[in-house]
Formats: sequence, structure tokens, C-alpha cells
Amino acid sequence: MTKQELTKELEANRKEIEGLKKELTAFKEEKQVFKNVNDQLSAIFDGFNEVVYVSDPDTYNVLYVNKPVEDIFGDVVGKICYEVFQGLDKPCSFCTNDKIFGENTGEAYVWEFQNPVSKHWYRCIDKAISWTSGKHVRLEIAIDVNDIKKYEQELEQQTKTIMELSTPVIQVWEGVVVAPLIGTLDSGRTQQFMERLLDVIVKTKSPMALVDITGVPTIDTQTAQHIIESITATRLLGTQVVLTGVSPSIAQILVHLGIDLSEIETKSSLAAGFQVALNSLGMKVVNTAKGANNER
Amino acid sequence: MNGEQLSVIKVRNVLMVTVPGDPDDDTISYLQQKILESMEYYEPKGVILDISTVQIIDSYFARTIVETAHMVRLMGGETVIAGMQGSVAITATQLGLTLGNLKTALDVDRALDMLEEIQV
Repeated sequence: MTKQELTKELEANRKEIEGLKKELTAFKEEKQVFKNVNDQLSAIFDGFNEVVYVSDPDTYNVLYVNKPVEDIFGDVVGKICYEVFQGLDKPCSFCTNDKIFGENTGEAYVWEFQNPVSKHWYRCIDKAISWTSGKHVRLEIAIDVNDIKKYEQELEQQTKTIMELSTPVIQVWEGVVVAPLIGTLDSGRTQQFMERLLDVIVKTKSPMALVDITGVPTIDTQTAQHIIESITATRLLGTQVVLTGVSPSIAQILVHLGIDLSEIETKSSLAAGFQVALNSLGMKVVNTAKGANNER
Repeated sequence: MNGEQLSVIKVRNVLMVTVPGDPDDDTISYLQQKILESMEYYEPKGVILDISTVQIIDSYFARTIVETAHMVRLMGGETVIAGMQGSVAITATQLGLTLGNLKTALDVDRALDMLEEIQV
């Protein structure tokens, strides 16, 4: 080769090397950007308190776990999900894969689960996501809801207690029972109240019942209907009923609501109701103190 | 249900009818028949229907009882339902089964008292 040709080749090579160096630098920069993005995403997912993992729905291989999962289960990527997470030797009977694939692909499935090991309650959000392998895989985020669960259970217990908090139906005289009502009546408490009231009436064979609503601060249509229902059932037994303790505000509300109590005897106080009971039973109260001269 | 198991007894001036627990529709119809025949034969001033063993009543039962009371009234008698169970009262109320203006009593004793007050 001539000197000229060599110089040209050298120049061309130098240019090529320059170009390649630039490409390499750009490549390294791009790589750094991707690494940054990857590190940032990892930092985000590892910063969750929540458990996040991805698994293959066909092979059950674990494809990704975030730090919380690693902390609990160790480095389990590549292992079988039901083996490492549940300690089973075949897919979990409660596996929700059938709920997030097929026609439900892309829809989230939310369910609650108590981990047999930690005993904590988790709210799991499962979804099928598109993976870089081209197919859909299972993504699960599990949120520790143990505290919420505890509150829910406490609330349930308290509601039960409130239901059980019932006032007894009391026989105040032979043939007269008093059934005080406290608070509001929902259908559940009404049922209980009715059963209790009728039970005592049948047992004591009382021809007179005073349903007292002094302890009912306010009344709505539903509660009024329930009270009427209870009174109707009582009358079916052959017992006379007086609704007592109707306060001025209750009276106003009942009229404004258009509730018809014309068939039912009502009094504003329990004492007045008791008077009705005495009259009906043909009894009277006599003051036996010396010098007293009154009968009621 | 065997017709012979139904009892319609005349006590003093009153018909005592003990309704069997869980009566079927035929029994209820038969009961109505028997009551009216006894009304004709004894001419009592009233009928006491003792339902203390009845656990469940349906609309047919309620309707027939109310009908029977009307028929008894036409034949000159008063009817009193006695001994209704608490659960039956609740169910009847919730189903809207009313017994109309039928008199009811907690037990047969009181039912007798009620009929006693009626002047013939």
C-alpha cells in the first residue's frame, strides 16, 4: 500500500474509533440512566412495608420479590411460590390465579387472608400483569391489616353486646308486666324484644302489658312500626297493651310522621299506664296510713 | 290426621275445642264442620278454640278460624281463641295475618270467664 492509502486508512480508523468511543460513552450513560431508574424503582418497592411479589402462573416460579418478602422468606426468586410462601407441596387450594387470568385478566382481585405462620391478617390485591417475557404473570401486593382486623372484630363483638343489652320484661303486679324500651329498635332488637315480651306474658299469664318508651329519646318511622308490630302480636295473645312514656317530643314526631296509633291506648307516663292496668283488673291502691283518706 | 283425634266437648254452656298441634288443611276444614254441627246440637253460647299446642299457623288456618267464628256468630255463639303461643303471635303479626275482631284469651280459664260474662 502507498503511504497515502495507509494514512487514509489510519484516518478512517481513528474516526471510527472516535465514533465508537462516543457510542460507548453514550451507551454507558444510557446504561447509567437505566441503572438509576432500576435502582429508584427497586428503592420504591423495597421501601414499601407491603409484600410485593410476582410469580409465573404456569410454573409457579417466583419472578420478583421486594425487600419485605426477602426479609421474611429469604432470597426466593426462582423457587416455587407455594413451597416457599405456604410450605405446601402442591399449588394452594385457595390460589386466586383462576380469578385474575382468563376473562378477568387485568382486573384486580382483593381478598383477605390470615397467614398461618405469623397469624397476621393480610389484604391481598392480585392482578395479572404483562411481563417482559411476553405473557401475563401474577402480581400480588399484600397489606398487613392486622390492626384493622382487630378493630373489626372488636366492633363486631361490641355490636353483639349491644344486641344482648336488653332490658328485662318485669312483672310489677299480678297480671301486669312492664316492658321498658331503651334506645332505638332495629329489626333484630325488635325480634328479641317481642320474643321476650310474649314469653313473659305467656309464662305469667298477664292480661295487662305496659310497653314503656320513656327511654326512647327519639323515634323514626321504622322504630314506630316495630313497636306497633310488638303491640299487635301481644294483643293477639289476648293481653291488653298500653303504650306508656310518650313524651311531648315523641308525640310531636309521631303526629308529624303520620303514624296511626288510634288503635292503641297510650299514656304519657308509666304511672298513668299502671293506673289503667289497676282499673282494668278491678283493683285499687288504698293508703293505709292513719288519718289518710284517699284511694287511687 | 284422624278425625277421631279431634275433640269438641261441651262443657257447661260452652264448646271446648282443642285444636291439635300442626293441623293440616283437611283437619282444619273438618274442625269447622264439627264445630258447626255441635253448635246446632248443643246450642251453646260460645266456642273456645284452644290453640295452645299449635306451633305454626298459616294463612289458611287463620282464614278458616275467622270464617268459623263468623259462622258460629250467625248460629248465635261467640268465639274465643285461647292459649296462643308467643312464637305464633309473632309470626302471625309479621305475616299480616290478623284475626280480625276475634276475641283472644291467654288461657282456657280466662276464655271461660269471658264467655261467662255474656248474657244469653
